[in-house]
Amino acid sequence: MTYFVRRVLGMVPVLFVTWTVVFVVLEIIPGDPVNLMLAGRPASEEVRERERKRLGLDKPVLVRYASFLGRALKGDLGESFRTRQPVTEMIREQLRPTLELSLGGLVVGLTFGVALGVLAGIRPNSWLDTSSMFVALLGVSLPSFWTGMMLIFLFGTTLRWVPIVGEGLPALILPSITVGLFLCGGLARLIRSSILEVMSQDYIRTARAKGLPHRVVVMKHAMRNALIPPVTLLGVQFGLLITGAVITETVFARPGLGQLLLQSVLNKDIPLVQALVVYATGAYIVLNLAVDLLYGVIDPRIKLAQAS
Amino acid sequence: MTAGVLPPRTEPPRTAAGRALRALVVNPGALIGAFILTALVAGALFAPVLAPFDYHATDSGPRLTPPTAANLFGTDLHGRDVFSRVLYGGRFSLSVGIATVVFATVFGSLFGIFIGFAGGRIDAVGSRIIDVMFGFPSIVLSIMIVAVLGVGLVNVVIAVGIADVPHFARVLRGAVLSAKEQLFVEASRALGAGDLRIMLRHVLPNVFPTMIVLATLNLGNAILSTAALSFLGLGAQPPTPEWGAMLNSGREFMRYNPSVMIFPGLALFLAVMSVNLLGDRLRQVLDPRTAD
Repeated sequence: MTYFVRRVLGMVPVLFVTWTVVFVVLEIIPGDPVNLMLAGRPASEEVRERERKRLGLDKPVLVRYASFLGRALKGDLGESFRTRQPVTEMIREQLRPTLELSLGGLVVGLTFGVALGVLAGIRPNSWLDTSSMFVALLGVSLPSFWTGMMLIFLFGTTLRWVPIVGEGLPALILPSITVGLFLCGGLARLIRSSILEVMSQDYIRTARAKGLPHRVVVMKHAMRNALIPPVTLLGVQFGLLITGAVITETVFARPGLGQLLLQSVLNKDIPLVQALVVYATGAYIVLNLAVDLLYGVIDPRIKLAQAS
Repeated sequence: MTAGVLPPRTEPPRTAAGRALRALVVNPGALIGAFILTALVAGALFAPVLAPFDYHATDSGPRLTPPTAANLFGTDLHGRDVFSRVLYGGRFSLSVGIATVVFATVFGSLFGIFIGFAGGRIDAVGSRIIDVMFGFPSIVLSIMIVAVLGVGLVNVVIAVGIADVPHFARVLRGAVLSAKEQLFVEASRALGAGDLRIMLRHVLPNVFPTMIVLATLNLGNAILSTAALSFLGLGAQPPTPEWGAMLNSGREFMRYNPSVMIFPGLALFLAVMSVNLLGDRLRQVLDPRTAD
């Protein structure tokens, strides 16, 4: 438990640094937010001044930074320059489509990644290994924006098997495959090498010597241990999921956090970018913490208190 | 244990580079990769000779025609020859990818080698910086950097390069930490060599293979990431024939002529795959720990 508390406390400085970096970066992005807000509409200097005051842009940088941190501690991340909506609300609205997409992508990516990795790992240097690793190579080499477009063209517009727009599960199939393909290549390679390592361990030889069938040795003895290293890389997968979301949402013209992020940066919608980055970093840290805790559960040899 | 009882064997090449070259040549995957990459690079280099049309010329054929004998890959919305544009596109996409990796290798390695060699408090602070940079999903970091610097290919190189820096810094720091403990470093220090001399003459050559492997493994990703930013409209701008930008502008017209989307993407995919094939093999050769 002390380990958990220490880890949570350790998150605070990282979030703080992230926050500060985002503030500084957005401070030096060229362009006046008020001009961007007006989006080319004519406005008198008086109106501009009033807007600046309302947004607090007339105050010195340090004052803005302090008030920004103070409000954030109360959970108020400000309102969008562009829509004047509270940013937390905007993020909440776009959260669902992105979560659906990420979940779909994870399901596809994990299924294919694990299957390919295990097939390759238990029969190294066989044709099964070669062909699985070839698919994995395609996974890491295919540009996901191109895969997405090809999928739309083939299964959406030409064959008309699946809808490419709209809500619900059918419209989620192609985007999920796009994200999943992107994830599965790296995952398959990782699981293959992990299985190879496990298969040479003494306890596998013991299991074989006991006369256990090959299937039991692989499924019960090898798999459980081989999946530990890939689990620790879930944090990395999260970064890939965000990349997948930005690109896939653009290709499929789907709403979501990826689109929100891209648009907020292009529009210099400072509060929105700040909030999105803080959310992403927070989610990343929490996920890594969860992975660390999970690690102790699946591998009892690891004592968390010492692992820190 | 005398040499006489050992079975005779062929002498392996003495230098690391020689061994690497031999191992690359005997691997079919690496050979295919080398062949494809050579073809793409040659296509880009000799584009002025090979391309049947000027990549800007809008009168290369009727608009949005599928592949024909005159226009091998068809034409785009403005009647420009897609084949010529894909050939020229290699100049942009490949060099941008390489520039990104060079940027990340130089800055990441310098940073990692420096903090690893300095040790102590500098190492502690430097490692924290690397941790924080890893905490940012790289696309978020790249998009933010492009937002600061502005849209364009050079800025995309810097953005993706910076996002890649922590990978190099972390690995090189580790490599330096272990190289530092070697006997030859101690010996050289005992002979009175200064920090800079030890770093340049003894530590750097030792971590060099690690650097090369990492750079090659990252090249495929760099080509993909920079093309992705161009695809998002943050990198190369029309009418530049960069592959990612070509995919972006061809997106809306693929219904009328899919070849505007198929061929630039295929070129991009082949480039990334060939680099990955070479990188995988190079890692197996130069970094025996990962060989299976």
